[in-house]
Amino acid sequence: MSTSENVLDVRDLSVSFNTARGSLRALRHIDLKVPQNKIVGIVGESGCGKSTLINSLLRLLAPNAVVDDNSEIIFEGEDVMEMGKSDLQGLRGQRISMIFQDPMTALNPVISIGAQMSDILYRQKLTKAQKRERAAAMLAQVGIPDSVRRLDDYPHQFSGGMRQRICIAMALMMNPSLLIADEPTTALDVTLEAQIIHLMKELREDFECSMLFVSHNLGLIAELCDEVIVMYAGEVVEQGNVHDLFHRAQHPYTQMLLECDPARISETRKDLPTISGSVPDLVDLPQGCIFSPRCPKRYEPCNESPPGTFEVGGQHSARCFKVRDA
Amino acid sequence: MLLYTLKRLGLAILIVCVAMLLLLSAIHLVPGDPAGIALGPRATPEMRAEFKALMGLDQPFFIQYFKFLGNVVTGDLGVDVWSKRPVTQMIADQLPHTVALTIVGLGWSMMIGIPLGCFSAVHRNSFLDRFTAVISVGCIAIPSFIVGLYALLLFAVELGWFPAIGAGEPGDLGDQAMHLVLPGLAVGLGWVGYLARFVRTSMLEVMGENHIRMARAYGIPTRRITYIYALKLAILPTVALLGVGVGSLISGAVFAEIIFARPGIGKMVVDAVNTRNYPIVMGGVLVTTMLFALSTLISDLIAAWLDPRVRQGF
Amino acid sequence: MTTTTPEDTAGADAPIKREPRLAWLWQLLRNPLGALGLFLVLLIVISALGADVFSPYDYKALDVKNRLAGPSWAHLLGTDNLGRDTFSRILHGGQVALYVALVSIGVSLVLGLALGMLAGYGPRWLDNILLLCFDSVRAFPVIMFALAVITVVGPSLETIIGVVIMTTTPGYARIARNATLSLKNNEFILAERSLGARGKRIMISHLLPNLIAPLLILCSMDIPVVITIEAGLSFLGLGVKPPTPSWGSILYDGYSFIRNTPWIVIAGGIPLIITTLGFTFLGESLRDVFDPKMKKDR
Repeated sequence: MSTSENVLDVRDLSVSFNTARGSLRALRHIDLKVPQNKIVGIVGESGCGKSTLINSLLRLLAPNAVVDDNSEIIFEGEDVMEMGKSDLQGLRGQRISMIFQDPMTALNPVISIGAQMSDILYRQKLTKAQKRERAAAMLAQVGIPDSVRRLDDYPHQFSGGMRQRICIAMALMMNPSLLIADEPTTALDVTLEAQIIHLMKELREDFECSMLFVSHNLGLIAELCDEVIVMYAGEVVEQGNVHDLFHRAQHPYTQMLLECDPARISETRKDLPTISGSVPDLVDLPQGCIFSPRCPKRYEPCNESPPGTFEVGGQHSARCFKVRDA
Repeated sequence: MLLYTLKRLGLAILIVCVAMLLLLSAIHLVPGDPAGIALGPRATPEMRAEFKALMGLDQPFFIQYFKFLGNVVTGDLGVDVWSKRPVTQMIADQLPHTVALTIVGLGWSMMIGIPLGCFSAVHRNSFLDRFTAVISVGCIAIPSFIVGLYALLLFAVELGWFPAIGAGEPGDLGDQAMHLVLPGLAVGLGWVGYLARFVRTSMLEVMGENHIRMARAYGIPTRRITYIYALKLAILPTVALLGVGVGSLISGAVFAEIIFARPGIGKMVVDAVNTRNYPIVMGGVLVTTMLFALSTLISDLIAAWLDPRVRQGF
Repeated sequence: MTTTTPEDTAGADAPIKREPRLAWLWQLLRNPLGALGLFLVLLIVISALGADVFSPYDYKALDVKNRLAGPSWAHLLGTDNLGRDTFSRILHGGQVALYVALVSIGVSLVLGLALGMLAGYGPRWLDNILLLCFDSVRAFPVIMFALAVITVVGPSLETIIGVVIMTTTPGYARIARNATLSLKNNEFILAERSLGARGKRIMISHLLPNLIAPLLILCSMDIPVVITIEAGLSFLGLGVKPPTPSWGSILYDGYSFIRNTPWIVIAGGIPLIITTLGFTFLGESLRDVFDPKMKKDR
């Protein structure tokens, strides 16, 4: 085990997909750290590479994906990219676990909840009865009433909110050091969302795990996370702690995201602000800054070469020439 | 579940009735004089009339149809024109042989087809997947009686591994089983192809679903994901399809029974066609059609029962 | 099968970029299975059409001294129990098989198209009744249905064709019905109808181009099925009457003497295998060419 205080340390991760049109460069030079016992949020539009990033962490990429040789994913001192089959089996669900976006489709419809939960415990030498006991205890902990009896029920017998609770219970079964939550509340309505978030906060204290929280709900990120990473079109454009990022956003994209957040719009306006233009073509990248075609603040250097990452101060950095020139 | 069962049962009965109606009208509509064909050119008009009366062909069409349906309900399918034995009795004697053959054929196709389909789905787009695809198409295309004849020639006549003809000694289950191997293969081989393709497609569909991604993320071993998590779902539509399979297997069974000189509905009907034994033929067609409707019904119900979402929904 | 846009044809000097009409054929031939299928189909068709030219003997000629002979240079595939040359009989049997297939599928196609359009375009109740009929026909084991009809009207080539028409028509009718239904709700058609074009004309002129590909594929898939039915019934002795040769009756002759000489059964099965495989491979590859969406899932 390394002495590093970061549970997860992603360095220079680049992933591309071989498609009929050519190489689609989904992730480019991602650097990202998840410190012990902290929650790191990832924000970005759909298609910005959030899912590819998550899948890379567990090495669950599609067969046509190519990971750049320089890429490193250091998890608790080990490089996930170097792991063999059995190491990966020990990693997935045990040391890194995951909560999925859509609880309605995340559970196998023809296998009972109890069996699905016990299956995750296959790595532990427990009897069937002990596994069921553990499963029932986990269900009770995430607030499923009558948990012992409900082990034999199938997913369709639970509501959406209940199913997400079950997913959370499954994710925490092996007491992982890192929990990845992929938009866990997007598919739920607002009341359920609040309940689930409340549950996750509670559980984080009990289980003492670090968390990577993916969402496009800035309010949730602000409420839950310690640090935030803003992604755009396969790049990390800005990262820093929650306070810096929400109050001193440097990258024009982050600033626009904050403006577009419906919760932050105070005065009544007829039209919601949007970011004009669309995500660039990742097969045929622009020469300069990836955001420049949509950026209201672009100037000469933006069109020439992609900007590096420039520090704003402390842990706060952004990928924008404006930061360098400020 | 009860309501669903009743609804499906009703549909099955309706389909059998309509099928028989279509059959009778087809027979009624084709030009030609059945009695003349049956009795030859030298028959007198009296003989023809008598023959028609015997077969009930002299009555108006709808009378014939409803009389037929009425008789079916009471279990009376008429008598053998020549031996005067009741057709129901003859069918009851022959049916077990045909059902056993169909089940063995289905067994063959499931035993080979389902693993082949799984394998193809797991090793998608590999050389072996493509090879399996060609084999599947081949199995589907080649007529079952060719398979039967070649199997008879190779395994029974040349190699002598299996008996060539008959159903085996009555009472000797082992012998009867040996006699079922080759005919079963002939009946079932075509469905190996259908099943392999169908299982492959539904496996691939299931493998792309969200919960499989989640099982992977939770580190469930790949084998377990493939053979429990995915197959348990992919098998549901396959089970429903098997019922349809029985219908085409029965057609194959006719040939297998002739080629391997086995007793059964198929052989009985073919013999009856040659002797113009109309009631037996109609009985045979009715029973096989009912068998088909029944097996579709049963497989649908099994598929529904296997799926907890449906099982508890009724 | 792309159509050229006005821009493409506007400039007379500019090279007109359009796919050649037979592009689909190239696509078909690029697929080894498609090329093989086409080759086998052509082989069968040519040998059947030229049966009289290619046959070394008269298929009816008896040569009792040479009965049940094995393959030799004189008789490439041996002779049957009456001393008839099996090779010549197989060539002529191909004529019968293809004749039955073409006639019955041709009629099924027309009939199915008409019934399908009727179901799709007609009132709801008619649609339901026709659908029930289509489903019921599929409930018969085909052979059983054929046997029942044969009992009444006697075995003949016409009987086989009639039975096949009855059992294959529903397949074509279903395709035509679904296409008609989806077209019926198309705004394009609604617009044209409001301009006064007559119903029938609309249907036929818009429907047929959309239907060619799926119907062609189904035909290609049905031909081996029909040939199998003809051969099967002839094998049972309930098909074409002797001395007209059929692959099925050749097989039956061979079956009776399977213990003396396996040659007739082996030789009689080969053309059936070639034909069914050829048409099936061709049909599958045609589907891949015309319906790339289905290709992904094979």
